[in-house]
Amino acid sequence: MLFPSFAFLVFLPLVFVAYWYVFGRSLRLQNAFVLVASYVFYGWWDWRFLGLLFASSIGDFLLGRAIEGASGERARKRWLVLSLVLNLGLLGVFKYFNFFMDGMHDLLLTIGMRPDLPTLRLLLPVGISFYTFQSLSYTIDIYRGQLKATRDPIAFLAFVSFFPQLVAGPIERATNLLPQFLVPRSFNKEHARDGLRQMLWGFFKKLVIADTCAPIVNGIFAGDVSTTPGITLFFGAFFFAFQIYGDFSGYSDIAIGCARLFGIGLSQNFAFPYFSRSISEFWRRWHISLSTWFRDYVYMPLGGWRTKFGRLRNILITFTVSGFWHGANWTFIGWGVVHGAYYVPEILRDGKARRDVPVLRDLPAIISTFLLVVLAWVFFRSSSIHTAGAYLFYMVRNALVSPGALLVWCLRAEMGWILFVVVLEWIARRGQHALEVLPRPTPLRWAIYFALTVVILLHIDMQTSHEFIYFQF
Amino acid sequence: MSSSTSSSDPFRLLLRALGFGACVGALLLMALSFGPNASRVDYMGAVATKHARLRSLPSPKVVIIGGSNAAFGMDSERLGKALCRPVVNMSIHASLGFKFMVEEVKAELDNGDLVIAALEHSGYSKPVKDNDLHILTVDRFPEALGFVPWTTRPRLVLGVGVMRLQAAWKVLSGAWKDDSPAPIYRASGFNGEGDLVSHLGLPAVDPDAVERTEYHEPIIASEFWSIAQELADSVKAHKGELVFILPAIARSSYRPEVDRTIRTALADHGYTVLGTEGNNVQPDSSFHDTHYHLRAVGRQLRTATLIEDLCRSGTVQCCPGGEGP
Repeated sequence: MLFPSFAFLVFLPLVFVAYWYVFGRSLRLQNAFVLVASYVFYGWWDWRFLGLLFASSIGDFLLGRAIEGASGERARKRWLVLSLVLNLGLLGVFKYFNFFMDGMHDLLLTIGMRPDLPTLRLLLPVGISFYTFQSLSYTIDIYRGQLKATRDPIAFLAFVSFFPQLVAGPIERATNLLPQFLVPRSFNKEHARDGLRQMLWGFFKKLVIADTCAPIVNGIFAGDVSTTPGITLFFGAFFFAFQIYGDFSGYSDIAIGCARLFGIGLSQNFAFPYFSRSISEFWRRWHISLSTWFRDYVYMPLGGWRTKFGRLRNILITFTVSGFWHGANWTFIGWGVVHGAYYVPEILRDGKARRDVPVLRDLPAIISTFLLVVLAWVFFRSSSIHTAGAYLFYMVRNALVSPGALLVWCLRAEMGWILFVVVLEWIARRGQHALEVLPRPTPLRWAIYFALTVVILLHIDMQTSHEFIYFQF
Repeated sequence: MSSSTSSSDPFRLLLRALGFGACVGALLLMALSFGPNASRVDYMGAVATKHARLRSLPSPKVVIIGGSNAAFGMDSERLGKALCRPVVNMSIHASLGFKFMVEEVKAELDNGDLVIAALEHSGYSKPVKDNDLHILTVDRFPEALGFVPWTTRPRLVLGVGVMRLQAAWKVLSGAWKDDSPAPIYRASGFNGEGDLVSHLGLPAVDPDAVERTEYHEPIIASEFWSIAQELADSVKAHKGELVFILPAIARSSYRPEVDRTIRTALADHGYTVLGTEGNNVQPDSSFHDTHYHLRAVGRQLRTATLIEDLCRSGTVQCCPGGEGP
């Protein structure tokens, strides 16, 4: 089920009422209801993959118990390896099998063999990369002694499948989310209200920014880059930067806001990343739940991060793996490597990500970081490394500087809405989302909510499905 | 309830949210009641005239259902003369889906009617569709709500409201001023029988700009058969006849194995399929803007072939001394 759909418009109030009024008296019943609602939400997309979700979750539940119950370190490690094999194996089969087979095929061809390797025609289950990572963090944390294995399978299954964040995150840590399913939830009026505000802002970013940027981006990336003016190619990447931001951070806002209606707190996934003053700061603000996952479960265990060389090596490995997580394509690996390379100067001069709030005098650093991020997005959006290279080459070669064309691009309506989002988020950059800063008089606030809703309605494209980009990962 | 605050809090929040939703709903209702049509392109408005004709024709009549291939590529007047029966061509757009097309006609069939199903390939591979075209159809012909499942209706009504609100904004902001609809795709482009004629006589389109046919898997979806059975039952209840014909298609888009699969499967399920393998294929130059949309010469050739196939098959009695084999 998609958030911007009629089905969700009906689903959410029904689940909300049943959650608090029908099942609210018993924690077990409430968790069971969350589980059923989450499976309905997921099955709406394709019920055939419910079995996979269930098998993956229940497997990790049992393995978590096994790790905790194991007598020696060797046994504990054995169960953990089994969990890794189960989760990464699922990802490997559904997401990476054909990629590796193609790679093997090309390799064998280059050494003169004529391979006939099998390929699988499998649909990629939506959200598989998200829920397997979430589930995996549970067994790893138990192995590390940071978490006790739960004895409540319903609570665990609800934790893995909790519908607001099931298909595109935030990737919640068991240490944060699972305990919330083990204690009675309370309805917090203020949190719930703010949740609705955050949802409204998420819908705005998705439907007004992401979905209106998408046709521009698609048109430019599908065209012949060799004959396209450099300024157009630049704006193709620029609009993609806002498309993916609106799409993914919009989804996260809707998910976090929605969870708050049910008394559940999810972690912040985006902290105004385009206001970052360095790449390291960008990665503290962009897709935070994934960045911290890779930091804790890949970067740190690699060790050696106290030396410059060790940090350099680990950063490059982590970003390459992170790129690969996004999809079985060299473009995502290229994107990861480019971001890893961006880190090099910072590591060499021992730069630290700033944690203070950006101010106007940081604008040069903010703009230069943003431009680096925009260039890297070209790899993410292109169909192959070769086309990404050509895109960047012709962006520079084909009249990149053109004041007239720049003016035309800047006067587009989409640019106006992007500016609106940037200004509002700048004002709200100390908080969680842009609508936190609305003026106090209630009628004025409600008028703003209404106006935002009308703008959303005026921008909804009834001809396209409003799928989120990150569903494919 | 496990709540730290008053048990009425969730309810109050819900009431507030519903109140807000009601304000938005009121705006949409206003747009629905007083707003302009959802699109300047009134092509789907032809559904209303087609239905008026369908209801008014005496039986036995000929009812053609299908997508735009049959709207562009049929001369119903000539067909009617050859069969000595009135004809209504209900075809308009493949994206409405076979299910919608069946729902449109099944209540209006009467004694001895002949139904010709001229579906595009997507009509077999994806017979149930749910898209904005249904919204545009309901916008012009509200009775079309009756042709979709009741679960879809609220969404369609909401969709019409949203699109009319967008249209009102486009009118107010002048965005529609310079946007002139394509000359072919308009409700007045259809003749009295329901054939699209606005493209006849127009110069040929640049071959590179002509849309090629896309094929989808599976060639025939499993749900196709229950819909076909529903149509067959309605036809049979009125002692009528149901025949399938394959869509006219340009040579460069033609995939014989796909047509063969459809033809064989239909025959295996006991349906009459007119024509022989490949007789629905015409040169690329016979097509207008897509490889399904016949131009004038191709349209006549296809109609003549259909008449010949119908008369030869004995499905219907052809006019004595009229066209036929």
